[in-house]
Amino acid sequence: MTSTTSKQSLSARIKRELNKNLLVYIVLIPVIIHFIIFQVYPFALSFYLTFHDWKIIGDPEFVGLKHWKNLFDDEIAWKAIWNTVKFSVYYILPTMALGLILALIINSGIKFSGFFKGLFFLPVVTSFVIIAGIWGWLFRGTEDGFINYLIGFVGIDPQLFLSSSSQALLVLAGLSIFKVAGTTMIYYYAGLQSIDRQLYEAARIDGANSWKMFWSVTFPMLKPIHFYVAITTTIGSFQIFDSAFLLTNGGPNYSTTTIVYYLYHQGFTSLNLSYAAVLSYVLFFIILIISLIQRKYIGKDPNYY
Amino acid sequence: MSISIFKKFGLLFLVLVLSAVMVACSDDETNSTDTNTTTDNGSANSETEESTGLSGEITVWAHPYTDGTTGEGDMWKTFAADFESETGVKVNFEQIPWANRDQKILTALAAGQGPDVFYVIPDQMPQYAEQQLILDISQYVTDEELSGFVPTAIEATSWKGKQYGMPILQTAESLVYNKEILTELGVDENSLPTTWDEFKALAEKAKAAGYYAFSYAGGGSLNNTLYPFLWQAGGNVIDESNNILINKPEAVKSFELINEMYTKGWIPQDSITALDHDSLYFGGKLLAVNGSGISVNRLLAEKPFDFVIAPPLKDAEQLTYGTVGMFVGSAISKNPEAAAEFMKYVTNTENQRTFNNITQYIPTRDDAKDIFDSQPYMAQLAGYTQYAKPGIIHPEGRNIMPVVQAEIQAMLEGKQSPQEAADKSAEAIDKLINK
Amino acid sequence: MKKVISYTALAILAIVFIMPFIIMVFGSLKEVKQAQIDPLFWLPTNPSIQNYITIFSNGIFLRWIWNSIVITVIPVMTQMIFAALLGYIFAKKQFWGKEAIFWTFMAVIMIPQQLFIIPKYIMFADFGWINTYWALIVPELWAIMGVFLVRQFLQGIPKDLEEAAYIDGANDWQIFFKIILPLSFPVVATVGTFAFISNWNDLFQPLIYLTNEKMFPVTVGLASMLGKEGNFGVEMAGATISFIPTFLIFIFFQRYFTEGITMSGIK
Repeated sequence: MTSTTSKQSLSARIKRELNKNLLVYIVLIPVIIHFIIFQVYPFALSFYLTFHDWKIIGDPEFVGLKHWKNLFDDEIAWKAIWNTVKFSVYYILPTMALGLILALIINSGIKFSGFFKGLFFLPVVTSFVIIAGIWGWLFRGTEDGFINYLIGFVGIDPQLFLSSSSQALLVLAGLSIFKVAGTTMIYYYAGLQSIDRQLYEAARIDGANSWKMFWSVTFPMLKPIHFYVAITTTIGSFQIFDSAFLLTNGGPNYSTTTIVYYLYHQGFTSLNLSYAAVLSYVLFFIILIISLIQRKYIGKDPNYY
Repeated sequence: MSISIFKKFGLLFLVLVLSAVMVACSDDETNSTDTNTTTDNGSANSETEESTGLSGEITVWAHPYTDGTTGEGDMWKTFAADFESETGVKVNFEQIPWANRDQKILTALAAGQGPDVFYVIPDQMPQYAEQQLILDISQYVTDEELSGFVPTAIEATSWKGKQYGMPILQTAESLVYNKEILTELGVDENSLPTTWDEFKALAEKAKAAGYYAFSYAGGGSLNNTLYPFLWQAGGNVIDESNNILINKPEAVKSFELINEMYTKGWIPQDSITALDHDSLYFGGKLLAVNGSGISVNRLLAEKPFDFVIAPPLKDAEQLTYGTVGMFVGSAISKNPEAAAEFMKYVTNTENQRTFNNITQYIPTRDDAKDIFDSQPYMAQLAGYTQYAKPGIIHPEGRNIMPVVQAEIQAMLEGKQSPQEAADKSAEAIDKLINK
Repeated sequence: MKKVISYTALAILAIVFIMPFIIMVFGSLKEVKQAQIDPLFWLPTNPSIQNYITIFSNGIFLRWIWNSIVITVIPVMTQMIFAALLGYIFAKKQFWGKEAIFWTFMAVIMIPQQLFIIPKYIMFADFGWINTYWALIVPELWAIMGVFLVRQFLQGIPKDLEEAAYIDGANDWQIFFKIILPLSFPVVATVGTFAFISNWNDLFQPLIYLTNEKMFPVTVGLASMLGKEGNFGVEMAGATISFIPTFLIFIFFQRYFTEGITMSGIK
């Protein structure tokens, strides 16, 4: 944050700043205007309406903190927040790890690496409805479900999967990991490609084996990518909605009721739009706090700051 | 109109942003926040003149009732053209996908836009009526005009003595058995169960032979799971004066039946959250489902096995679920008379014949039911509409469902008894209606 | 031995990843409305292209494809340009409020978009954008996630490079076009790929803002063809058709991914 604090005349300061940063202003000003219209305005309006009874038809009525207070007695809302936190624990690190592993596989010089890259990317481009349908079919809780059939061979009893309040969220997390891993793979792959080869040479001269090289060169050099992937998967995981909507309707017994699922239901089935807005702000604050923590610990780039 | 508040907010927001920008940019210049911007002209265009007699145009939203192969698109074109030549009102017909239709309609209404006429089911109607989203058409429709409809259809389209919808279609669910499994079990198709006890005996037999007896989509609507049994047992969820009935002894019997079916393995293990058991049923592993015309037509088209339809079961009463699809008018329609007229027009005898012939639903007028004279299965189902209840007609009906569903799921997971599940459901409903 | 294990693992992984795709394609060749229980039900015993005929004989399917192209390609191009420009600005330039502006951009996407739909709809109705391409193009002209990605990569590029250029008398524009853009193109290609996939597959927004079937993109058009109970074969055929352009884009852009941001050469 460097700003010139000299006592020059304003016009001189402006002129110098323009000289230095003309590009910044030309690009940033329209972008900020666009951002204010299409993002900040609905964001602020939704916030404003959390203090009102927001009706579909009819004027909003000011009700103060009523909807915010409702949050504290709403056990399901807290359960939904807790479910969402659990989901992100099941989802964020495994997605990052699987994406990194897939990227390492295609970067390892195996034959047909282009083919495998395309293959691992397939779930990303295949419609989510189809993947979810197949997932539901694989993890069917009956004896003849496909996964139950497979685990039967190793002597495991049939599991309920989506019909079990202890397993359903895990199965949904598995679905998201499967769908998203190809995306993280691409980010990591791009990151791996940009690591300076000389670093590996230097490590090899120092006598490092490939395992050590991974932890001393590859992993730390991917830090900017770790940060990007961590932020995007965090946002994605806290906004998880589709899979519960398509496969479990939030059950059994609210165990897959995530916060966005719950707020969607509150908003568009219960027509309680103001309360849904409260819930989305709660979610916003949670994601924001986690992202700030992530920024603090993995977002600092020594090259730059 | 509600829109003005949004405009006002928008203006306020603009001023705030502009002044923030100005403060940030100018340290030594005077702030000249120009607040005498143009006056809000949002109210001007809402005051369109209302004409007497019918004219103008209306927008109608409907959904794909079929996969489009039976001439549904042409049907709507004909309806629109005929209505225009009869009344002079132009009809803009728009086919809206089923996906997220609630949200689409609500969003459009919230912006003061959207259709004049749209389609809802009885779960939504009282809620939309209470929120004043839909038009009370009592003044546009006479008792005589309503007399042609079957009583259950009128019951499902009115709320607190006011008529909100014109019913276009109905369904009636009844037991559809896989005949091949019946033969294997040695059961005569003319002596199928009519009571809960007989059904339980048959279920036990099917289970012993390695089949599931019945489907239970515990992740879906309670209309297809708990409610039919609840009504058959003589119970209900809530009455018009908000007395909660779901934990009365007769109601608890239906919780007990579901629990028994699950613990004895008559329904599949995934019944807790399953959304359907179609593939088990179509794959010949499941004895019977509660099916409507759609499932019957699918069985006829794909012929996975022979089937037989039996009447709804009876415990204390013989009842089942059947929806009623209706057209309603938007409360903010600028042409409510024309909207009501179109709703009446599209549900008249002749058009119901056309509509239900193409879509294979059951007409809501007895005099249109003759379309099934040559379709024995549909005629049989049409005969069961007298037993069909259209769900829980209550503004909180749709909010009640997830809370009761969760208690049943906990019961099926063995975490609570049927009585506890019913009691907790009652508690949760009480909380909802006294919010 | 070690090789056998790793190749077996790779083979299993490959099967898992290809299975949804296979089921989609084979399912699209089956004339069934209902998925069956038999795990092998989707094997093409009686392959038929009837589902594709049903879709293409719809009359306005080509129009839907055109609509999808319009509302996808324009935002994808502008998102790539803005990702490069803004990524450069946020990674390399020094100006007042930089971090605050960037993190405000980031923060606002952290709120679920479901509710924004209503205020946006009201605004678009005022603009007269309902049932037009505008509602789907203008709000998508740039996207922060792409900016963030480019920023992350450019932060890793050593400063000496541009400093050298500054000393040679180059201005920002020259640095951007001569150094930053070629350097970051692989990442910008990644941004383009993901923007294409998400815009092409978006069902939700067009579903809300469009009611006229002539304006529908492929996603909404296909949804409007499905009866209440769905139709397995047609759904699979529709998914296969929508899949093709996104996968082609991936194949097309992936040549650039391999180049990476090769910082080694420029030191």
